[in-house]
Amino acid sequence: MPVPLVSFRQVSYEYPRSERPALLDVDLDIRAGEIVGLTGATGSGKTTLCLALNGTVPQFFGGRFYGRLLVEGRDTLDHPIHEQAAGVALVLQDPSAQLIAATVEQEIAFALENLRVPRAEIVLRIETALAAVGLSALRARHPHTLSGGQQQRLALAAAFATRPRLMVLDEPTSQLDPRSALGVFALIRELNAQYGIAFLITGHAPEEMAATVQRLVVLAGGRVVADAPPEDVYRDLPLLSRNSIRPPGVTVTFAQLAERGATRLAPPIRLEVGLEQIKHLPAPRPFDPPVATPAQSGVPILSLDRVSHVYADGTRALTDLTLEVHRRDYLAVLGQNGAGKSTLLRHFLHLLQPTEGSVRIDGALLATYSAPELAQRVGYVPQNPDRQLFNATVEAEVGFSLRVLSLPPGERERRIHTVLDSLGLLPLRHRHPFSLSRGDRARVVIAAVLALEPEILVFDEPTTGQDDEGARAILDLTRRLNQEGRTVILVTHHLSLLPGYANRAILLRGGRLVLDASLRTAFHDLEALASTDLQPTHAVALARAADDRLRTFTPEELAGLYGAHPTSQGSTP
Amino acid sequence: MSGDRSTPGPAASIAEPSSVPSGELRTVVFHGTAQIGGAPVASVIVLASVVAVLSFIPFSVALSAGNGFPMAQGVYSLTGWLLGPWAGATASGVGSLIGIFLAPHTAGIPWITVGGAASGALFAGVITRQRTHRRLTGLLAVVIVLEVVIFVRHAVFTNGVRPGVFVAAYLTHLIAIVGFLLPTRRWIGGLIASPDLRRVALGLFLGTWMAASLMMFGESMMGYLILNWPDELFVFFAGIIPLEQAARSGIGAVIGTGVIAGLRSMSLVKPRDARY
Repeated sequence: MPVPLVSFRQVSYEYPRSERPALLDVDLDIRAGEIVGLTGATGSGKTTLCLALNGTVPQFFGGRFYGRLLVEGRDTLDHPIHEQAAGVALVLQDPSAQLIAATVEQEIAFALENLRVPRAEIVLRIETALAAVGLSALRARHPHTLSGGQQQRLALAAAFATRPRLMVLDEPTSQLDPRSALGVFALIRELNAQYGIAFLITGHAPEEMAATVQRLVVLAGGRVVADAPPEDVYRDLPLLSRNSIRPPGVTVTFAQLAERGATRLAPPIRLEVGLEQIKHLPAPRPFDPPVATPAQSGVPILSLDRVSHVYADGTRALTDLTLEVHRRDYLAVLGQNGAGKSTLLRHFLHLLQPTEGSVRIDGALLATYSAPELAQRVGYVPQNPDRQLFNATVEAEVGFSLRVLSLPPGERERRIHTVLDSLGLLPLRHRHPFSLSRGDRARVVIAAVLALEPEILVFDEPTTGQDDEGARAILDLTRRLNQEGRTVILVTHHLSLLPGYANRAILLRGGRLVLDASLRTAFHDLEALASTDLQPTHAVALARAADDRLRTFTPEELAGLYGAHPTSQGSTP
Repeated sequence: MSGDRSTPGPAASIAEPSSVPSGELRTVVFHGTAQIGGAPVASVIVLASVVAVLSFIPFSVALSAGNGFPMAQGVYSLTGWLLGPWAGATASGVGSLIGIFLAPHTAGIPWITVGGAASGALFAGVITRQRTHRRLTGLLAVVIVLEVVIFVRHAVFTNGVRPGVFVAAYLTHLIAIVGFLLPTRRWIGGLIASPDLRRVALGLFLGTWMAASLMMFGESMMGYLILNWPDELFVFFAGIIPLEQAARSGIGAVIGTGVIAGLRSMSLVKPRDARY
């Protein structure tokens, strides 16, 4: 039997001053050329396991290390990190954090120069790597002018150019839109097939994982609690639920169909299989969607009137965009990277001013509000929480803006306690924000914004990097705030999470408004979705495959139309 | 599912899995080769960048050479405590060298600025409760005493500056010099190493005051040897130097406390000679 490429033997690891092990008795093999997925709840030890593979854990962090980890037969504790990096390439969760050169070409060359690869060979490898990831035309661009998807592909190219035996990708698509995410996973499959590189991929993207990995490992509390083909793992819904892992939408739908006796087949994990299977089921009962709440009248809390924005370099980001947001709206903003979503959000915050048109809050032009006034009207939670954290404790972070507003100490303390409690952060109030997991750091930023009690809350991809439970907790909170009277505007790529939360969606393409409709209508406007390269959710695709007239948009709604026991239909319009 | 190890058997269903590692405890050694004085080169580069960026910000309208001083002067000593004396001196020296080109408005006399930046980190690196770097400490003490002798000889005995005026002008620095030669140095080092962040802040304030005073006294001496400013300027210094030292110490304490609090909570492995 061949020696595995990676061999964990009773590996445990404790960070310095940590109260519990980040990894515990891990026994795991990865064979050459294998694609292995690694999933688990936030804080389950996925990133630590990745960092152990080139010796960064424990050599860079210190702490206590138990057991033995062999990569290509070499003990990771006995060799310098830079030697190990030649065989194990690591791509971090935020690709922009590891891009350091001035051009795309130089970025790929950097690691090769450090590995003392001959110049002629470097030139050759740059060409191969650029061609493999489709960035040849952008070789002279500065990496930080690339889109998120392009940066991700560049990070992959720079890692691939070192000709590693193993590529470790920590949440490689968490920042990407669906089209870019599909592209990255297709690239992984191609590099694996063409060059035989083994991959370890962590993440919360079940649809892409199901289509790509050969084995799926589940971590919980630093332990390996499952190591099996993805079919076996994704069909074990109790295991997924215990570990806060979202199953593919098609699996959930078919599991519910099986519960109702509509099928005896094992739930598929890939959509194309599900689409084929559902055609062979008996015809579903007709579905009457709940009546959508009529649009509100009166002065909108936020309005854009024929807004266009052209950046200084001539890039047209928004064109003739008119939009009214009313109090208590829960608006989802959808579109691919580069569709104009961020530019739109910056207009809400007066960080950008329209080149043409106007933006108003309660009928008054945004320019008439002072910065503190605007901060109390519009709260903004950015996509990358780390850019907004600068205090030494969670409590200080949440209370910072309240101190600036000179609130009385009693009121300040009340607000801090309330938001920390509502986000489950009270036990962490004295911790340093950067000692927390990414998911917890995101919650700290949300808490800091909520403490200001703004009327309008703008969330830019708040579920990025969150496990299923964390994502649901954040969305539940947004729904509660909405029900309490706040207006919520949420940008997301995770369409399947939206039913039950947003009541309205707008779809942007190239800076233009393509669609403004109820969430259900938007989800079923397949033509509009296709025009922006957005894929319908599994539940919607399955409903339309079963009967093109069906307008269900959750697995529960669709499954309720099969079997002997009709269930109440969903209430989200 | 055969691979699922989470499904407990009847006996295991009531027992929490042990959190005691069963593997052999290993000795953790950092095998990286790119180090300066026990600190990773990457850390030195990061802090050099910080020093270069802070060189942009002028923080006073007047100083010995007639220019504003850069905010970076408040963190030269911090690099010594974060990286140790040699790596800290490299970071400060390289950062201020870059700063001279990027921000000439705060540079003063360039070679004195770079040497001063490096010396500030060197002095800070030996302000520690540990009895390490004894030779370096002894050498720095000799250098300081020589600076005092040369400065006094040139100003008082050659140029006729009144002794009382000289002492008044450099009282802040002279107190720091005495403090450095006495065990006060180790007491301040103990404060910086304390787990209590309030004591850390106090230690950083006093330590920055001490290291920056030693640095500035040397810079002033060299500037004086070149410029020979008049007696009247010493009188002006008597008022301005304590204020500027307070500003440097404040910068060092505020930035340093935040940085040390962050580094401690991020559990990064410390450079060999780090003092926090």
